[in-house]
Amino acid sequence: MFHVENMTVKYQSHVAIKDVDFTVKPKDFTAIIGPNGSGKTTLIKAMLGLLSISKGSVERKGSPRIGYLPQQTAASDRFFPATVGEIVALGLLADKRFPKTIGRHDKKRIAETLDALGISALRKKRIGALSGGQHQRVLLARALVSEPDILILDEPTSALDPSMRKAFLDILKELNEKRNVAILLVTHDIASAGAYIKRVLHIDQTVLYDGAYKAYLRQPVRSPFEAPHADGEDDET
Amino acid sequence: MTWFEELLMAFDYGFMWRALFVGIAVAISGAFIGPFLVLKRFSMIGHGLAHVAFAAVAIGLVTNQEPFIVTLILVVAASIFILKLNRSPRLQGDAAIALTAAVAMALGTVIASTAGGFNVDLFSYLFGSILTIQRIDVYLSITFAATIVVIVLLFYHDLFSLTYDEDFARISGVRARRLNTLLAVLIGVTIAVGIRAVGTLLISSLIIFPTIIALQFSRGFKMTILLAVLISTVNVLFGLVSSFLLDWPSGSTIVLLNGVVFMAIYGIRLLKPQN
Repeated sequence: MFHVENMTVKYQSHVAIKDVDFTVKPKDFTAIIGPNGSGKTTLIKAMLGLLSISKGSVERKGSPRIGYLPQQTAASDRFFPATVGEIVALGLLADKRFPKTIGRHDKKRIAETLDALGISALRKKRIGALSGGQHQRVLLARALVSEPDILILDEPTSALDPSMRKAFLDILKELNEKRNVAILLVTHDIASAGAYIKRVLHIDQTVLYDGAYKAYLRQPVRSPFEAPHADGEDDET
Repeated sequence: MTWFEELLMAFDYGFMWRALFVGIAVAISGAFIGPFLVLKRFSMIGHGLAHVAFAAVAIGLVTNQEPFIVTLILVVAASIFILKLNRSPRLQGDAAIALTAAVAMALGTVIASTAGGFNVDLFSYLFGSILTIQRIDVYLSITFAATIVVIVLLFYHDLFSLTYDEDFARISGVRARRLNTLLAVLIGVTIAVGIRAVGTLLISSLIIFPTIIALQFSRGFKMTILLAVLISTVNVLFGLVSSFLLDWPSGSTIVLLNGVVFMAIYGIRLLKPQN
């Protein structure tokens, strides 16, 4: 679905990631891990075309539909005047042509997506009035409403409590197993995600490990369990 | 003569009707783009462009060109310039707006002080004067306001997406750069349209105030725009009539009214417990 080859991204003279090779295949459930400032967010933003690549290439095979859940906290939305229904509708714009409108069929899809995530009752609520867990589910609904082939999530569970985190990861697992959605999950919290992920991409500017999660656990030097890092900080580099 | 008789008499004058038409056109166009600017934390661009409008009016008056046309061209150009400057990593925050505003204000002041002979006229452009509004201003205001409304409606979903989450909007195929440029053009046009009724130095408040007031009530984005239009139109109507009755400058009266409404609503919201 995605083939990243020899990719280097620079911020002026600072090299954020260097010579990264990486492939996303259908049905993958991959965690991208690494310490703060290691380039995790930079990698996915470059893959999505949000950052310019200094060297290398990103190839999208078969024009996959992409769902994206950015690194964001509920606090930034506190005073934004938008209902849950309006936010989720934004996920449908990629399929629309000018002039873009949200019709009856779209509203049905929005309702179905909210229903699938158990947040139907929130449709008319203001986004800023939601709890952290509800907020993340709404952004997940926005990413899922277009029925993506791949879902890219940047630290989606960092602001959630353990029970909400588990519920959120359960949803991702179901999407991966039942709807064959490939999942690319940037996370600091591999301890929580470990029960769900199949593959790990460990980066620190460049790729340190790319392979099965179980095999990764047997490599103590590269494991974050052996080299603990500060959790929950912004990875924006 | 009672104030009510004075009020009725006001509408015997053609200039009052022209001021109302221009004022409502400005109120609607300002309220339509206000939410996008305020929520993108770009409120100050209107203020910066107002300074450019001051310089543009001075240039128009000293060169005997129609100030509206000169203002339209220069303010739209400045708006795009600020947007481009703002993208530069070497300029932090809203420095681009501050720099442009300062240079434009200095230029306008130099022209006004050296050319002479049009300072009274310039004053009416600075703070708005309903007496100076011509029939052509009415036609231009309505045409440009209608154009702004149609453009915002056509690009509504893309503009909303861009305002809420620019990264997500770009992934959804929204052409962020083009749309930001379009927004810059619309701001410039609104400023140029509004200078007759409200004046160059106060027009930005007609973009910001209605949105800020609407944000105190609204739950959704569409509702914010509709409320902003309603609030702005009512305030312009009452402001213009009050300015006639009190013999105050129209722009200042409208802005003061907006300020009073905002403070009253904000105060009530602070006292009322949030649900």
